[in-house]
Amino acid sequence: MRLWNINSSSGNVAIEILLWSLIPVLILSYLPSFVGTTQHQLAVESIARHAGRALAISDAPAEQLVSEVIVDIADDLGIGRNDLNFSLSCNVRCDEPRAWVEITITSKRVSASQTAVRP
Amino acid sequence: MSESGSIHPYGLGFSALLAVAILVVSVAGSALVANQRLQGIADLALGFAHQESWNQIEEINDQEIREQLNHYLRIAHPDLKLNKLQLQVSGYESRLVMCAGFTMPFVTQFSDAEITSCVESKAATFDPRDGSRL
Repeated sequence: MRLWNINSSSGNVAIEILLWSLIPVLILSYLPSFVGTTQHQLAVESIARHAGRALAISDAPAEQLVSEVIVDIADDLGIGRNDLNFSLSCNVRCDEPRAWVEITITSKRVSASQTAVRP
Repeated sequence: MSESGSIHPYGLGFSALLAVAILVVSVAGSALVANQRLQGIADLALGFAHQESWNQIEEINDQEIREQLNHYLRIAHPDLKLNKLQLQVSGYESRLVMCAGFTMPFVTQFSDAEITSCVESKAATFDPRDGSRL
């Protein structure tokens, strides 16, 4: 016996409507969370890139520079400043000339890293 | 024209179409993120190469820029799957086209396929004493 006969109209309409409305809803429910995460990831990548460029160009204290970049562009990217955290990892002191600085920006579940070399 | 028939083929087809649409959106989103990341790498690599080239030989030279680019990528991003590195140096300006392969977090569950993302970056060296263009 075939489970579904495509030529037959027999069956329980309530179950079928429920089944075929529920499956697309389940599939679509993935979309907002994915779009939100991608938007967040793009914003964090952008902040890491800008912070890296600031660190490579300016010899101001590293932590201050990254904080300024976050304050300057977080709002433009639609991401709350308070949701953002950053960490710096350096091969020597981060403010020394030619120090290699790895900037990691994290926000909620996403993070992005870039490596800059101080001038 | 008969009105008899099952709703199942319609439901299955619609669900499959939605699943494919979601997959396409996922891949496009991941590709955008990969592209943004690669842009940051290219910008910082080229900036570093210019700075080091000036520090070491006080000129912007194709060979030196290339060496410094490779040096930066070897240390900062050793896992980067670089497919193409095209550099044009003209005077004190340079243009870099960089392509790298990225695996897609969602797609890799089904195949080893990776996408290649390409970015372009430009840099110019300025005189560190007064900021004028060299």
